[in-house]
Amino acid sequence: MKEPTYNYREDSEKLNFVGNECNKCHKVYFPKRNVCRDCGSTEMIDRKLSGNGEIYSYTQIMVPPEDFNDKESYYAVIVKLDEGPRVSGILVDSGTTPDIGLRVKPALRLMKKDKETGLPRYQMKFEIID
Amino acid sequence: MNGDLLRKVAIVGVGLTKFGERYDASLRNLVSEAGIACFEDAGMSNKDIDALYVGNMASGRLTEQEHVGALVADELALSNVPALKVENACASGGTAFRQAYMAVASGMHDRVMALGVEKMTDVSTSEATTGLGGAGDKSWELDDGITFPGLYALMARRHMHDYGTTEEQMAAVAVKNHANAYKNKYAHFHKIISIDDAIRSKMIADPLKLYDCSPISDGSASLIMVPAEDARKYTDTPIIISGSAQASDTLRLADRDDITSIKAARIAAEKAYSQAKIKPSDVNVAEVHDCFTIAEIIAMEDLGFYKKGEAAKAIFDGDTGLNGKVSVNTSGGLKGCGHPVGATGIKQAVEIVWQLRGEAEGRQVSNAKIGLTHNVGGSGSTAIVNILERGD
Repeated sequence: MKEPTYNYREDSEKLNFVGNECNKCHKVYFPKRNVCRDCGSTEMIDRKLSGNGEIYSYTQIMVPPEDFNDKESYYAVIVKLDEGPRVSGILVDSGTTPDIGLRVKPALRLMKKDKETGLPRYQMKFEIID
Repeated sequence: MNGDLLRKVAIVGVGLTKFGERYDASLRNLVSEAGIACFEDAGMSNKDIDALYVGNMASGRLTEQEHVGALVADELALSNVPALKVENACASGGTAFRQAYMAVASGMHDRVMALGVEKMTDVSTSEATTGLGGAGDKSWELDDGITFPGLYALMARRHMHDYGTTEEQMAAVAVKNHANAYKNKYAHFHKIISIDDAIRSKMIADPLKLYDCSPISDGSASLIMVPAEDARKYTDTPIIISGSAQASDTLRLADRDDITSIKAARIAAEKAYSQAKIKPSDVNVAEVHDCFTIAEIIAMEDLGFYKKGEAAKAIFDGDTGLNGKVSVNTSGGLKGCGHPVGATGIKQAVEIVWQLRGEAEGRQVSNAKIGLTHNVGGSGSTAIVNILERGD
């Protein structure tokens, strides 16, 4: 059996939108960092983020990565979260065409069932707020 | 380090393979082809080489061959010299170039070979593309469904939003680079295309279409560096490396303050210009990292050839064609000449050497005196800028 290359260690962080914050300069990060990029401090405190934000850029991916999911195409976005950090992700298939500046909220969705193990994999996606 | 303590370094020999789908050639065959051409060009024997730096991104993934430093040294029958492979994604070749430069400049070695190689067509396009995705953040980009073209598409979309850049202007990069490649016998593509062809090609990651993307190619490129004071033993036309700088940035695109520019490239360019004591307008010919058409537009702005937001129109208007204001990607660039990933950064320098020597045949830029190479890894996590000048 092919070993999974997916990094399961980051699932709790990813699926719960847990980032962290520098205890010295209060810069917020998602994903977490162990060293603050702004001030170099290593005093970082976990912080749960809302996952709400606005679309900073978007694309429709027509050629997905190998074995990613069963979709032929989907929208990928960079979202500027309300707490500050920017993060990339994909949009739920809602029929709404994305645009820069549109508001989004987080949406936990089944990504696919792993071909080898049959286990479901979930992904935190974004959903456009109408 | 104090630049005054460094030795001046010259390139005295270059070699290149035909780029493309080289089903006739293995990784090893490509190395021989570029390496032997390089020895012949330098008038040097393989036994003259002191040290070897190989640029290669993914030999393990693409051919199941690791230890490529020793493989190249063995294949070229070098004399038990220190040999190693460096990997910096799409900037692996540029990194090998700079390591070789530092080895000679520092006085550690006297005759150093830098060779880049990538054998990409022994796996399916899908496997190769997934492998290249590792240039971004595996856990936080690729696993989440953001492909490598997707990253540059996100940059393109924001550039269009902030500066009014159009799909036709991006297509003009591909049209220009295909026209240049047509005149380069080493290029992957020998096909003139139109704006319409590019615009109508298959969508890969909106707004980027097939003709906005560089191809998957096999190829190898090589060069030999020596202290400038020794250069005339080997050639009448030594090419001096007057600036060489490298910078890094976040692995993830989303973490950057501005995705319409590559900060690492701006930093490297500023340092390289300062070392060479030149300004952007002094550059006659440049090979820039057009992995996607938007990347060439961004490069022209990051390198200071144009103000932010002004490069796309200038390229569309023909400003950067052969013998334009600055001649850009005369080899055909990654788009037209091909992109065997580890070879690209070295190939850029090979093309500039030919241009400065006046050996670029049908694509020669008249009176080219100063050239520049710009090699980027990932979505901008690594950038290397080198300035080359005629030694006379």
